Amino acid sequence: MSTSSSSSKKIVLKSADNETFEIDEIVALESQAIKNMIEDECADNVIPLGNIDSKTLSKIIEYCKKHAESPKKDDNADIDEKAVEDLKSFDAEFAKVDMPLIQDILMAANFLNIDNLIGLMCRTIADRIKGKTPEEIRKILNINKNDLLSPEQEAKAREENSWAFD
Amino acid sequence: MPIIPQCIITNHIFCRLPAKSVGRFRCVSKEWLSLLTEPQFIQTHQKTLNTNHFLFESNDGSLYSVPYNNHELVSLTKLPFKLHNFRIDGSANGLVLATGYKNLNGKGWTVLALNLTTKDYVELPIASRKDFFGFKGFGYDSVSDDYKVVVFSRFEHYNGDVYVYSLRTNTVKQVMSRSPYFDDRFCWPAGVFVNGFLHWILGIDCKPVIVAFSLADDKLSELPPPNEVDLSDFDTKLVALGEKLAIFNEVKGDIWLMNEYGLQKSWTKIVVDGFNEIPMYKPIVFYDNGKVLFLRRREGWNAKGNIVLNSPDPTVPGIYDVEEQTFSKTSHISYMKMRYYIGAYAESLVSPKFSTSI
Repeated sequence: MSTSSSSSKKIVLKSADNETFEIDEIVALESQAIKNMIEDECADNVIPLGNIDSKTLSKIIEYCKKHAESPKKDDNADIDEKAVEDLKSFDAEFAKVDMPLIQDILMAANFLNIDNLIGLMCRTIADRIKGKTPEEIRKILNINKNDLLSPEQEAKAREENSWAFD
Repeated sequence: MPIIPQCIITNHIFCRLPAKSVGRFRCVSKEWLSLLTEPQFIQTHQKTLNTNHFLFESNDGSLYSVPYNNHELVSLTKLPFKLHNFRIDGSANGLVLATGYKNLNGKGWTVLALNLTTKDYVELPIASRKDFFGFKGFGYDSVSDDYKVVVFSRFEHYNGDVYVYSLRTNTVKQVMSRSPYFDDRFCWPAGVFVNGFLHWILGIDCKPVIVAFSLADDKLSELPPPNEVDLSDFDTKLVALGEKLAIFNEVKGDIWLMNEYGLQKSWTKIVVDGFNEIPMYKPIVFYDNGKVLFLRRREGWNAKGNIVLNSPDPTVPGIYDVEEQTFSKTSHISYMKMRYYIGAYAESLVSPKFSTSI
């Protein structure tokens, strides 16, 4: 049992590469998965996250800190517009990372069940890929060569979707 | 490279992509082709994307599509259709029922179920049927997963008969003879599709009522209007706002929303402060992400409501946001001199073609 008061209760997260991060419980609660663990009292002092590396985990903590500090929408009907704008620009800055890291963050956010972050990463991916050609997509997302269409199949798919190539 | 769970890719990433991106990405791989053509995906995509386009006809008769996105009108797309007197008689899930003449001389009358995004269409055999001369509606029946055209015939001895054409079965059936409802306004309104029903304001014994036609069981019924609304006022019309039926007075600017379908006491008035100060004539009202917006219309109409072709003041499609009380900027498309506003449709991948293979 922790002896500190509830307002400053700390949670320690351990990444796959054995780095530890001590954070306020309120920050950790942004993750529905961690929240469940704490509520079910199956969280020890240290929560090991064996599938999340330290680079990804520190990004996730950065996101959760900011969102935990910001006023929640349901707190107050006339929420401070500046705070909303502030959070928006934080999100936009946060998403300015390379594609592999975005995918790592998305995977981790999915594992930790952080809805807003899943949404942000998916919007980012959608925005980045929407203007691309099939060839570019194959490269960016590392599509398995065995899954490619045969030349005949691809020609047929292109013809059927010719409206999308104008 | 990590593997992102399939349901996240489909529901959160693919569903956010514009239809054109989806069309292109069908050529990425076997897996993507199969995922992006699944009927379930196509339905979810249209609902998640939730992007409306406006359709305008320019002075030379070409059709232009203007996507309405994030409260801003962006680019224009010239569509490859050339039908004269092009008209939309209803839309559902991104498909529209379009009518027009193939030839300039008023010949080649045709009726299409058309997806304006994918340009995919079927010509409906009802074009040549005399009994389908009348006012129509177009909607989706989720019970039989079918798109249907409903017509109140106005042709000679068929007058008053009601017919339904099914896109799935490519068949016509008569569902009523001598219906007591008539279009007292003589304007042949297109049915408004909401909640599996098509709606019109029609007259019965010269008294106007809201008529609802159920696409699932072909039954006609009446919906009670709010007590405060006078349906005999020709400025009132039915519109779909989001998934709800609404009555809009295009001169007063009053909007009544039926919050719970079929329930008279659920009609709620949306007050539009300052409507009279907005410079527009008979605007089009629509719904976007929880907001009610007006498409400002000053096209070549004079004060009496007659069309003036060489109006010095062509269509100015400005969007007025009721909540924020602001007009969106639309200067970059005003050069278009668009003559008519034709209608709105949802961006979608839904195909009007039902498989006919055995």
